[in-house]
Formats: sequence, structure tokens, C-alpha cells
Amino acid sequence: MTDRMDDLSAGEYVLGLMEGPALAEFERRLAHDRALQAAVGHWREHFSALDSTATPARPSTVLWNKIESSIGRPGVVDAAPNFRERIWSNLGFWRGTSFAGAAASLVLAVTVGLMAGRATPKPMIIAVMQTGDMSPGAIVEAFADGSLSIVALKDFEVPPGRTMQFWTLWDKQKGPVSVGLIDRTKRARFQRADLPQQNDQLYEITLEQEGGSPTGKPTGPVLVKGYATTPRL
Amino acid sequence: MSVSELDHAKLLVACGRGDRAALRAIYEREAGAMIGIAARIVKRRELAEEIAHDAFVQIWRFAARYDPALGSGRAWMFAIVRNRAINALRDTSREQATPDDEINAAVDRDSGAENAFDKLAEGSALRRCLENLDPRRRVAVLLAYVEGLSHGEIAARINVPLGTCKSWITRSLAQLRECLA
Repeated sequence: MTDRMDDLSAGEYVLGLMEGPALAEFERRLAHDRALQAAVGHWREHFSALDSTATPARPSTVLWNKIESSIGRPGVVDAAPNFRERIWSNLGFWRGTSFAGAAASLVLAVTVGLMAGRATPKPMIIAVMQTGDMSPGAIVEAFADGSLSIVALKDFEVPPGRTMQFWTLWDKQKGPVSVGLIDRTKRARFQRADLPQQNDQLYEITLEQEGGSPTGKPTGPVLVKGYATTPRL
Repeated sequence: MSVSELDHAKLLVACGRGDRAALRAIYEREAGAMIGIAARIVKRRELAEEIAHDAFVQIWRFAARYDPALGSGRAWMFAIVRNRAINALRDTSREQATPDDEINAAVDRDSGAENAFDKLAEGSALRRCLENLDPRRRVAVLLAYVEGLSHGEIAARINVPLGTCKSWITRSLAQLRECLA
């Protein structure tokens, strides 16, 4: 059984009233606290009576086609929750499912660069890193001089005592290599002339304990990930 | 659990295995409802449809995480729709509201929270318990769930200080908790 405070928090969460650090903390607990999950389920079940009072709208004729193209090719099983194993063990799989989204987002990435008015050298590669729901979360640009920059396209919640760590993978045998830690700014820069910059190289950001992953390999949840592409413009 | 609820749970399990026909079946049954739920929150038809799209993609990706022991498949899916709609609302409300938005909001006010309460099934536990709440406090709770408003927006809408609004909602939840137990 949950205690009264937890139950009220669960109610507040289901109403959609929780925000900021309180929300992040609640969701962190919710991920593994069975009693809290049950409390949320209980409120949802009751409040969903209100969902039935919404007037249904007729979907446009193209909606299903859009959904179908967003979920990837037929025959690709794309619903297992264990992101990490899939990414690092099966690059081809991931490439297939995210290709459409990444291509669409590339235009956005280039536009962002232009709008910022940076008369900088053209990046060797760009990667649009996407969140778990395939929306663009951050852009990586890597330049010929070995510098890399990350531009965040959304706000990332970093709980106290945690930090974001930036990784890249170009060789499955070698495994992911840490590029560096990211502080809480919208933009991060790294100088790593020792790392390759090639097409189809994987970049990702994970949430790790303060000071970075103790194992030298990603251990925390994946925030965003994406493959490098050579800019066409 | 009704027959259709069992179907929803089954369809979600099938989605978790990568069965696209199952997602299509959910779409046939629920796409309209999902757009309707999102539209009450974001007030814009096209945006509501985008939210339904994103929700379906998320349902597909995370169907394997759905646990029937924690509630019905429908409530799980609609929670995804509401979360996405509320996020979209919070994002757009940070931008300047255009006069058109204001007009739309005024028009939709009637079809929002109070209306949802009136349409709640007679004899449903939620209706019975909401009826026990003081009417203004009831509206505060409904504005959160049905229209996705934040504490601050609810306070402005019902014209009470923010602190009062927060404590009304907490106390209403405590009352609902007892009543729904």
C-alpha cells in the first residue's frame, strides 16, 4: 500500500499538475516503485471516465499513413523496451527504424546552423540525436579540426547528483567511447581530434552519476541518440 | 473488466510483439477519441491530430511496457495522449498567445471542464465523488484533467490566489481518495 502523501502525489501526477524537479523525482521513483505504479493506475482508472466525455473527432485521411511511416518498415519489431541492448548490439536495426526521422530532421539541423548566423567552417558530419519517441532532441556537429559541438533542441532534466555524458560508437568491437561530460548549458563543445568522424557513426547522450560513468561505458538511461550523416549542402 | 477492455489489453500485447495490424485495430477504435481528448487540451484541431500521431508512435514503441495488472489498456493509452497534449500546451503557452488563440479558448471554454462533468456517466464512482466536492474546487480539478491547465492557469481562471488553488486541489484529491477507495 502507498502512504497518503504518495497517493496524493500520484493524483497530482495523473491530473498533470506536477512540474519541474518534483515531476522528475516522481517519475524516477515511479520507474521502479510498484506501489506507486499501482497508485497512479488507480487514479488513472477513475479519471479516465472523463476521457470518455471528449467528443471524438474524425481523423484526417492521411493520419494512419503518417503513423505507419513513423513506426518504420513492416516486419521490423520495434517495441521492445530495452533500448540499450538494441542500440549497442544491433546497429543495422536502429538505422532502419530511425532513418526517416533523421533525414527529415537533417533539414532542421542545417537551418538551425544558418539561423544562428555562424560563419563557421562546414561540419564534416552532422548527427540529429532523437529522443525515445523519435523527436529531435539535440544536434551534433563535428568539424575537420576535431572539434564537436552539441546544440540542445529541448530541455533535459538532470536530477541532482547526475550528469549527462556524451558517447560515440564507430566500432562495435571497441564499444562506445566517452567524448566527455555535458554541463547544464544549451550548448557544449569538445575538442577530440583523436576520435574518428565518419558517416554512420553513432552518437548518444546518457544520464550518468556525477563525474561520469564509473565503468567507462554507458550505464544510465539513453536521453538521445542518432547517426552521423555528411551534410549535403 | 469489459470485453472491449480485454481486447485493448490483448491488442497492446500484440503491438508489443510488433504486430502492426493490432495497432491499426487500436487506431480504428480510438483515434477519434484521442484527437478529441487532445483537442480539449490544446484547443487546435491540427495540433490535436499531430499529438494523436505522436501518441500512436509512442504506444507502438512502448506497448511491451504496458502492464495489465496496473490498469486498463485504454486508460494507459489515454494517459499517453494527455501527457503529450499537456507538454504541447506548456510549450506553446510560453510563446505569445495570438488573438486567434484567445478567441478559440473563449469559444472552447463551454465545451471544456464543466461540460465534461455533465457528460460523466450517471452512477460512475468518479461522478458521485466529484459531486461531493464544493463546486469551485470541483472545477479546479476538472480544469487540470480535462483542459490540462497548470496550477497558475487554474488560479487565474477561477480567480483565486495560487496558494489557495493549490491547497484546494490537494484537499480535493484527499477527499476523492477517501471516496474512491
